[in-house]
This record gives sequence, structure tokens and C-alpha cells, in this order.
Amino acid sequence: MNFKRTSIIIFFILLSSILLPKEQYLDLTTSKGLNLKIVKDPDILFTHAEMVIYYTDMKNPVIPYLTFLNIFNNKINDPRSGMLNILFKLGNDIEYEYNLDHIILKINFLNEKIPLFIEFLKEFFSFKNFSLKKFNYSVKNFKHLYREINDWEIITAAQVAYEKILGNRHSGKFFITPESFKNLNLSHIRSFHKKNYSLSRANVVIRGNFNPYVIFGSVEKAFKNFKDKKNGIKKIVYNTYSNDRKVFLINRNGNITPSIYWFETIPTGNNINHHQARIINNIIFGYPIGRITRIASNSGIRNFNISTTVNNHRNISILSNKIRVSYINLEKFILIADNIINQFGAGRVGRKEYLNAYNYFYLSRKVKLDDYRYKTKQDILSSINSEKPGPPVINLNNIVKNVNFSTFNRLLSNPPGYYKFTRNKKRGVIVIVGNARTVLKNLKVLKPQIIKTY
Amino acid sequence: MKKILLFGVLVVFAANLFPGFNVNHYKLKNGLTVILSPEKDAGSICIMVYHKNGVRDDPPSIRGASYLYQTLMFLGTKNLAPYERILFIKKNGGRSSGRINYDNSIFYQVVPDNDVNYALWLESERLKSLNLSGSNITEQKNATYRRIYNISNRSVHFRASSWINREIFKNTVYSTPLYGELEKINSFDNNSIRKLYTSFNNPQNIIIVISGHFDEEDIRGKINRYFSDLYSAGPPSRDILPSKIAGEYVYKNWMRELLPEHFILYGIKAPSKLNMDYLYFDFLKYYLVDKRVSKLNRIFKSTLKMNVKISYESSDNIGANALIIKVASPKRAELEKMRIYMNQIFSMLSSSRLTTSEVKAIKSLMEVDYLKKLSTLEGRSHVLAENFHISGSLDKENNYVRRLRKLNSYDLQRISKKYFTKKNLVILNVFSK
Repeated sequence: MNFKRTSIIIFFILLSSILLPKEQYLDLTTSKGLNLKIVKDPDILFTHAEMVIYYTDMKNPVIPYLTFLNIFNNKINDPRSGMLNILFKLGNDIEYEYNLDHIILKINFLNEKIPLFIEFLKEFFSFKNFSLKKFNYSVKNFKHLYREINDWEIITAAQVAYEKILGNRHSGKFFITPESFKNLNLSHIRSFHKKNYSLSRANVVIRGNFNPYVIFGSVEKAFKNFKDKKNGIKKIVYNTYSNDRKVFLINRNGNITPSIYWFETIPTGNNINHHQARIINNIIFGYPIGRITRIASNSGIRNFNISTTVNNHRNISILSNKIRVSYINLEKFILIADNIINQFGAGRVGRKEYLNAYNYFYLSRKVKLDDYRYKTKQDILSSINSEKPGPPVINLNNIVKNVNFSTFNRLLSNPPGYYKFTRNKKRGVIVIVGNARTVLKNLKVLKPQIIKTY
Repeated sequence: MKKILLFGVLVVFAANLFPGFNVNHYKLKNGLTVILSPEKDAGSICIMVYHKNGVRDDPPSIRGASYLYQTLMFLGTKNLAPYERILFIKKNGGRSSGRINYDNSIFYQVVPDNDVNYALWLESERLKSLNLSGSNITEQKNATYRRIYNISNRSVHFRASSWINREIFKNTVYSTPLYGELEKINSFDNNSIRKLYTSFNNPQNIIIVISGHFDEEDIRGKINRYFSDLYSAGPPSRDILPSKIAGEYVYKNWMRELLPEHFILYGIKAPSKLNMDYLYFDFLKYYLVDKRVSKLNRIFKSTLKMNVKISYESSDNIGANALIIKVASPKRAELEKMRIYMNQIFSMLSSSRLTTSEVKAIKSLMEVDYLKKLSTLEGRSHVLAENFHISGSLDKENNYVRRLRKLNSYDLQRISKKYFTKKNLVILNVFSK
């Protein structure tokens, strides 16, 4: 009887894998509230899974870090907790992307280890292995452990900028100071974990070459006896942001080339205007063909480079242009960039300049879309913005259809909420990281606020 | 247990386990090998030019000269201004890279599929009319000299690592640094460098791998158009044989002024890629130092809570290899304690077997890493080209997984006994005065 039943199941699964289209999305919420996007992708030879959790409670920015460390850090969890043991059996190919108000876990494993991954999810959501000993160790060694999980320069610059830009939210606490450790105890960690690390607050994307229905059924079954608090995802609205000009300075000792981090807020990734804003950024900051690069080079500034990263949040994205330039040209560079940004709002963009930036934007996406990590990033983005189920709403076809020279210029004359170019009003939060004494010696006009870091 | 088994069967059936790639190869009349790996759903294409030459093939008087081609390629060709190549690739959203190694050299571009024509032309330009003017070569020789001289002066680690490589590979071609002997770089003869390029770009020494989205017939025509007139009088490269590395224990102390931390370098002589032991040794490398599963990290940092840093570098040669493990600490006492443990760990590898769960976990990780490499166009192209270079066949990628899955703790113990022995070690202690 059992054999007959198994044969029937295998027959239907084989049939469905033959009949179903090549890339197939199953976008469902389990009965216990876990948002699950399962993507059958025949081009990937293993399984790639990502889980994102947005925090609701950021009253003290050190608490999310300590919670994370108490759960995942190997030094704190020796011998390994049950959950870390499962991760080890999976091969431990895990990456943590710590993004101030959310965390993304990225895991790769073999297809045959999916049941073990589901075990991991169960252990993760029912984690109770907190202890005073672990907590005390994590607080005592926080500085050291924190630097191990982050690129200190990038994360500190982001903390300073986020506090300024999104300061009215989360009680305005992104930047860690010695004050953050006052009156901290284990119960803070426990309650943060309970509030945030729950099934219904997580979005999970699993991408691989398998039958999505089988995976979904297994997850559903695994969590059958699970009690979830139904602590659903709160829609976070970033409507109280500030993007007025502010220049900060973070000291970093040693013989280093300074960096300028230029932060801007733009519409979130599932909004077509996000893509227009990225094209605007390409025209201004694009390297090596943007206006700033051209004019700075013509003004005699040599040996600099610009790289751009985008952090996606609910309802908003924060774009960061990182510029490495010598101390002597630091101020000159910022003033040139300011001038270009101010002029930008006044005039139209020529077709050739637009096409160059558009081309780069469109073609680099086309190349990146062959990468499972980039595809999963888009899946996560569409999940957190509660789009309709299925593949991301904004895709290459959509961009081709909606982003063109005339919509672009229309956007420039009437830009969406937060991407206004106002003449004579300086925008963007600038964080300079470098040897403070040398930076200050080279600044004549700019008066940055010096930040005391933890 | 039964449920897990059933699940495994279901997933396996639904996923066709290991699909393999649609790969084929052919030769142009001039001897150039072409490997095609089409993928109809991709939006991009990778053009990889794999040279079966590297620094190993340089004449002894200018060994390291090929290393200059890595930077010379940016300085223009007959029809391209300096840096125009890279500018074009970047402007069109692509990425590109190049690397000269001892036994091979690779140059690749990943570009949108519609740019394939231009990308092939760029590669043919590099092969046929690279600007090897005296001023370009001299400029690159000076730049390389300055760069290496500065690093060498600044970094004790760099000097220590160079020394240990020299000791490990003593009396082999790998003992000369990739960039050549520092004091000789500026005196490399420009004419010899130009002459060497005729062997470097000899079509008989080149494998072109095209992977991604393309029409097979169309691409054959384009390759014919751009590469069939590539001709060189230079000789084909010699087959690579495993280099014999002397088994000799070397132990040395360096005392240096004002170092921020003390460190010890453990150099372990490793098998060549032509040797069946390579896979097992690679496993032991993962086991000891890969930060995701590192036993050394676990013992020293997590269990013993020692204030130490563990890092490693490993070579990627075909003929002979080395693993260099660096353990560093600001406290010398910690390092002395660690030295005792390290000796115990090395001897434990030979005397006892790893646990089944450790072996299974690391095998999974290695397989995932390999599949991840195959999932990128440049990674897959590299695997295909290198396997073809080594074995002349294209089915080796399946062998890797098959052999990995069969690996067991007995094999590992055998390999540990062979390689983690005293006579296979070169140890350098670098202490601050």
C-alpha cells in the first residue's frame, strides 16, 4: 500500500516537473505565517536560500547586534548550539548581511540537504539558547566581535548617515555609543528576539532546481506544531526623512586614503522611479563616464574612483556613492560635485548623455541577471515590498517599457518626493572617513561635524 | 529517517540531479582550440582566452616577463587607445579580468550577449596587435618594479611569504616569483619580451571558451573571422609534468623591529593538480583553514579563546603547489602556546581519522563551492579550459563530484601521513624585537 502511494506521488512530481515552465515561482504564506518564495531555477546546480528580517524595535542599536552575536557567533556558542550544528552539517556556507534595520542570511547547500535546511529554519525560529554567560561574553568583547562582522568604515559611515536621514524613525538610534551599553541586560536580548525573530516577520526565498510544491509541503509540515505569535509584518513608512546637507567627519588612524561617502535617498527598488533615480545617479556620479568624473579630471584631480551601492529598505532605498580621493583634493572634489548637483536641477539632460547612463544601467542589469545572487536580491526586494506573488514586478522588460528619454525628462521637471534638485540648496549627507587632523588641515570652506565613534 | 530518504528521492527526481552542460569543442586550422558552452536562457556571454603558457614558459633570463602582459593589455593595440578596451566593457555593463599564472594565463570578458561581436574583436586585437612599444614595456617594467619594491619594503608579511615560497619550491620554476626577481625586472630585454609574446599568443597554445547566450553557427563564423588569421611561428607549449619538490625540513627565525604582531608561517608542500592526491589535500586545506569550517579557528578562537589570527594562502598551479598557514598574535606567549597545539594537530591528522560528520560537512561545502563556480559563466569557462588543458577532455567536471563523493576518512589519513610530515614543512617564525 505504502509503495503504491509513494509511486503515485513520484509519478505526479515527475509529471509536474515536466509540464511546468522552466523558471517557476511559488509565492505563499504558510499557515503559521512564514512568507515563503520558492523559485524553481534549472540554471542553478545547488540551493541558494535567503532570509530577511526587518526589525521593528531599534530603540537601542546595540541590541540587534548582541542578539545576532548570541545566536550565531562561534566564539560565544562553543560547543555549537543545535542550530549551528545543523548549519555545519549543511556545509556552513552562510553569509550575514547586516543592514542596520534588517538582517539577511544567505545560505548555499546541496539540493539533497533541503530537509536539513528546513530543520535549520525550525531551530532558528525556536531558538532559546540564550544564557547570562554568553550575554556577558558578548558585551565584554563587543568591540572586537562587532569589527569581525562588519567593515567598520562602511558601517560606521552608514550609521552616522542613517541617524541623520531616518532619524525620526526607530527613536533615531542607529549610531552605537558607549551610552548604548548602559543598563543592558539579558532580558533585552530575549525580548528583542521574541519580537523580531518570528515566523511571520521573516521573508524566505529558496532558489534551486527542484519542485517548489514539494518544498512548500515540507515547510508547512515541519511547522505544523509551531506556535507563532502572529506578530505580523508592520508596514514601515519612511515619510519622515531628512536629506538636508550635513557633513560629518569620522577619524581613522593610520596612513590611509580618505573616503567620502555621499548618501542620498531614492524611491525603493520596486518603484519604476527608483530606476530613473539610478540613471540620474549614473549621469552625476557614474564612473568613469559621469559628469563629476569628467569635470574633476579636467580640473586636475587625479587618482580617484567612485563606487555606488544601494541599500533597499521598505518604501525607501539609500544610495551611497563612495569616493576615494587624496586629502589634498577632498574639498575641491566635494565643491565640484555640489556645483554639478545644483546645476542638474536647472537644465535638461541631453539625449547622448542620457543614453550612455541608460545603457550602462540596463546592460549591467542584463549581465547581473545571470547571477543567482542578484536574482534572489530582486526576489527579496519584491517580497519585502509585498508585491503581488510571483516574479518581481520590476524586471528588464518593465524597465525598457517605462524608462525612456521623455519619461526621464518629465521626471526631472517634477521629481518624486525625495529626489528633488533644488537650486542653491545643498543636499545629501556626506561622511568623510580619514585621518581627522589631515582632513581638517585640508578643509577651508567645509566645516564638518566630528563624530566620536565607539 | 524513511521520510528524509523519500524526500531525497523526490527532490532528486524532480531536479535531474546533475544536469551537465551542453559543451563541445573543435580546432581551427591554425591549432587554436575552441570550446563552446551555450546556455539559451542567459542574457550575457563570457569570452575567455586561456593561454597554456605562463611564467613557467619564460626563458630563465627573463623569467617573470609574461607577468607584464597582464598590464600591457590595457595600454592599447593598433586600433585601440590605452584603456579603451576596459572603458568599452565597463560602459556596456560588463566585467573583465586577466591573470598570468605560472602554468597558464586567462583573460576574460562577461558582456551582454548583443556585444559578442565587439568582445571577440577586442580579444583578437589583444592577441594580434598588442602595443609592445619600447616605451610601453619600459613603463610597465618600472611600474612593476616600483610596486613590488614598495610592498616589499612596507610589508614583512610579503617578504616572509616570498621567502617561504622560495624555500618550498626550491630548484623548480615556481621558486622565482611570478613577477620575476625584483633586481632583474628593470633589465629584462624589451626585444626578448616582444619575442616571447609570439609564443604566448601562438594559437596552438590557446583555448577560447565561449559560454552563455549565443547561436552556435553564428559564433563559429565570428570566431573564424577574428581568429583564423592568428598565426605565430613560436613553438607550442610543453606539456606540464609534476615538479619534484625536495622533501626537506626548513626552520628559520626572523627578528624584526616594531611589528604590530608576531607571526609564524607554516609552509606545507602540496600535490600538483596532475596528482590524484590533490583533491584530498584540498579537503584538508578546507578542514584546517577555510573560515567557514576551519578546525584551527574552532580550536584556537572558539574553544581556547586565544587572541590569534589565522589566515592562509594557497597556490593554484598545475605542476606543484603549496599551502601557507599564517598564525599571528600580538602576544608572543600566545603564539608559543599555539605552536605546541599546531604540532599536535598536524600529528593528529596522521594518527587519527576525522569524524564522519566532519567529513560529510566539508564534502558538502566543497561540492557547493564547485557548483557555485560552475554557476558563473567565467567560473565554468575556467573549469572547462583548465580541465581541457590538463586532460584534453571535457567530462572532468563530473569526475570531480564523483571522486569527492567517494572520499572517506581513510583516504584523508593516508594523505595526511604523506604531506603533513616534518620533512614536508617549511616554518618561519617572525618575531618583533
